[in-house]
Amino acid sequence: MTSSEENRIVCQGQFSEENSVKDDFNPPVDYTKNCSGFSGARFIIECGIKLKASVLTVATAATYYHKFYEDASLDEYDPYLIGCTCLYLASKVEDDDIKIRDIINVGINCIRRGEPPLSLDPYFCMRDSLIQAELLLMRFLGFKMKVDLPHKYLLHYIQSIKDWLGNEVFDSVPIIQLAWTVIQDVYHSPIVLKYPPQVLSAAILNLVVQVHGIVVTSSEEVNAHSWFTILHPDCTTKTVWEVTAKIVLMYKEENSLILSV
Amino acid sequence: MLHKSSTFSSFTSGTAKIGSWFSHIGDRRRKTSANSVLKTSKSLQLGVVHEVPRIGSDGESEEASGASDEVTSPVNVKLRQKNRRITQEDINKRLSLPADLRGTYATVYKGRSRLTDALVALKEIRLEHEEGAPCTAIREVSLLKELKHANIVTLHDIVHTDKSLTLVFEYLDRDLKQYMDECGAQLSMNNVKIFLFQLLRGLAYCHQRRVLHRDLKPQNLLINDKGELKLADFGLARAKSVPTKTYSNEVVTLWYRPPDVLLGSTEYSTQIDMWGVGCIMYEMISGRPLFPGATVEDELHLIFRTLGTPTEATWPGISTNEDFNQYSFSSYAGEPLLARAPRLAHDSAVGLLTKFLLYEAKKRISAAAALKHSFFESLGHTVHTLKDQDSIFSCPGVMLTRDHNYKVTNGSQAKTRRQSMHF
Repeated sequence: MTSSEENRIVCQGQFSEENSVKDDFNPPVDYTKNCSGFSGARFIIECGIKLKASVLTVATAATYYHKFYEDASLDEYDPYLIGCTCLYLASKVEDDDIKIRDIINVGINCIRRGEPPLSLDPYFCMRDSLIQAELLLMRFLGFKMKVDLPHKYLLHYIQSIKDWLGNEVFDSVPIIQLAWTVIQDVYHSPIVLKYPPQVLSAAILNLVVQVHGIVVTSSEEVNAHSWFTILHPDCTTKTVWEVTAKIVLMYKEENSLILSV
Repeated sequence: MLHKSSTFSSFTSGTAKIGSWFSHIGDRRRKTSANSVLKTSKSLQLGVVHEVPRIGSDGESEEASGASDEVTSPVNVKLRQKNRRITQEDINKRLSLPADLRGTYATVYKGRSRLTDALVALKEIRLEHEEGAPCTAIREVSLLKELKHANIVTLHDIVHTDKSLTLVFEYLDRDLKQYMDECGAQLSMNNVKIFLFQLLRGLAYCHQRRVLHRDLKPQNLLINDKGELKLADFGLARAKSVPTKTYSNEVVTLWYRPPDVLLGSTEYSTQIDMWGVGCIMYEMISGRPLFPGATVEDELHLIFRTLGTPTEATWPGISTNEDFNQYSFSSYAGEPLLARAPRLAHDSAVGLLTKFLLYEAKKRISAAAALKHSFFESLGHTVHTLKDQDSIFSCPGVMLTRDHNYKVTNGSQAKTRRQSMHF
């Protein structure tokens, strides 16, 4: 596990305020030096945290973003404008009251760190382009704007695993915190589009128990089937491990994809 | 005429703006290709046959609010504008206006598809310059995209220009309110069953997908000549997922609003829709609305007078409800619903009705369970084996009874004031 997960501990569906504590772990990104799918997703997550958006809004926004760039190219559409637009549309769909003005100001401030907010004219110009881009985005999504997110499945699976492990083992390691961190980090990567939410959740939980070295399977079932195969028919041993490996890879690549200030 | 690809011009002209986002950042400039073609384009053309601007016509609003001047002109009460001063009067008007006018953002036209020659309803949503597409429209579109059912209005297509978003719906002649008005007083019991069954089918489908309608009322139930009933106006509906926060309690039209919501409950579940089903069932059977309250207090008063003032026995927790205690209602014993509407004695109708009208939300019968109630026995068994997209009229023996005074129109004759669509 690299840096970022430590900073995103979550309480009750909201990002906590602990971001600043370990800034040296996660130095601010210089988005002007980056233009990749990854940095755009990071931008959405950073703005989401600063806007106190719900976890679900950020995940929905990042899903839109990855879908958009499945078809569009980064050279044609600026990832940071699209990122802000994704957040705005997601906030409407998820009923998360975020003002367009806040999104623009936070977005600009993440890119031009430390500079004063925009004056009126460029602000209005930004707002117009964001609203134009909102329509474009909706078309790209084919107006299918409701995303079946993995979060609820993850919570459900954590509950199951708690029953299997027993309270003593379960409470001895921060399973919930780490799982909730990983599920937010995983939105850096377009793998969230490639697998059903149930598989994503199972893989995230698999990663967490592996990291803590916990054995879930009860003795008589050892090796016959992995524990997560009973969660959902799609959660085969092969697929879940494949996704688990991709998540690990995503953390590995983070430093090469993100250039800090 | 609306043309799908008109969007492109709006985007190609808008690309300069999209590019300007980065130019402001001053690092590097990127230009969006003016020739970029979206993959989503289809060449479906829609011709608007005759544009009937929304002329609301709804007995309820004319009598109840005296807002007839508002009704005859398509004046839209814009609720989403922050800086507008909204008076209590405005809100009352809003609540009693027909759904389409109250809908704040939409104009509905009747049109004909050049592709299929079928009539369509075109709901044109103006895009606000300041905030982009309205939340309600986005929510309605994203929900309807997922809901495909014989008893839910079909969204055929979405057409948009830079100024507006037009939703293309299937066209239905009238809503349940108009149907009941046209029948004079009462619907035949057979038709009540057919309509109620279809309403419950549509709702059960929504609830299974964790979508709440939240605004059930006769005006939002559309009916075609065959008697097929479809749920419409999902602007207030919301996909119910992991509860992250409580919902606003100002959503359901007063007459069909459950008492727990009237008393400030923000814990919504699928059961909030079931109270309204009960009210609609009563209205179809008796010909009169069940609780036509003008204010929240009036509405509660009407409910309690009929069903009895709730006690800890009938509604656990009510004695500590602050709103309830503030009103200090006198304690009514309630009156039998049968006395108000003797027709409820038929086919154990009153048995089903009382299961909808329970004070405790979680005790109310679910839509899926209500479909199995003996009230619907006369419809036969095949109605329970229908596939989602099958019409109830594909079942042998299920036929609409010709209601008294009700004239079957073939669409073109419907040149009455009731012609316009309600969403």
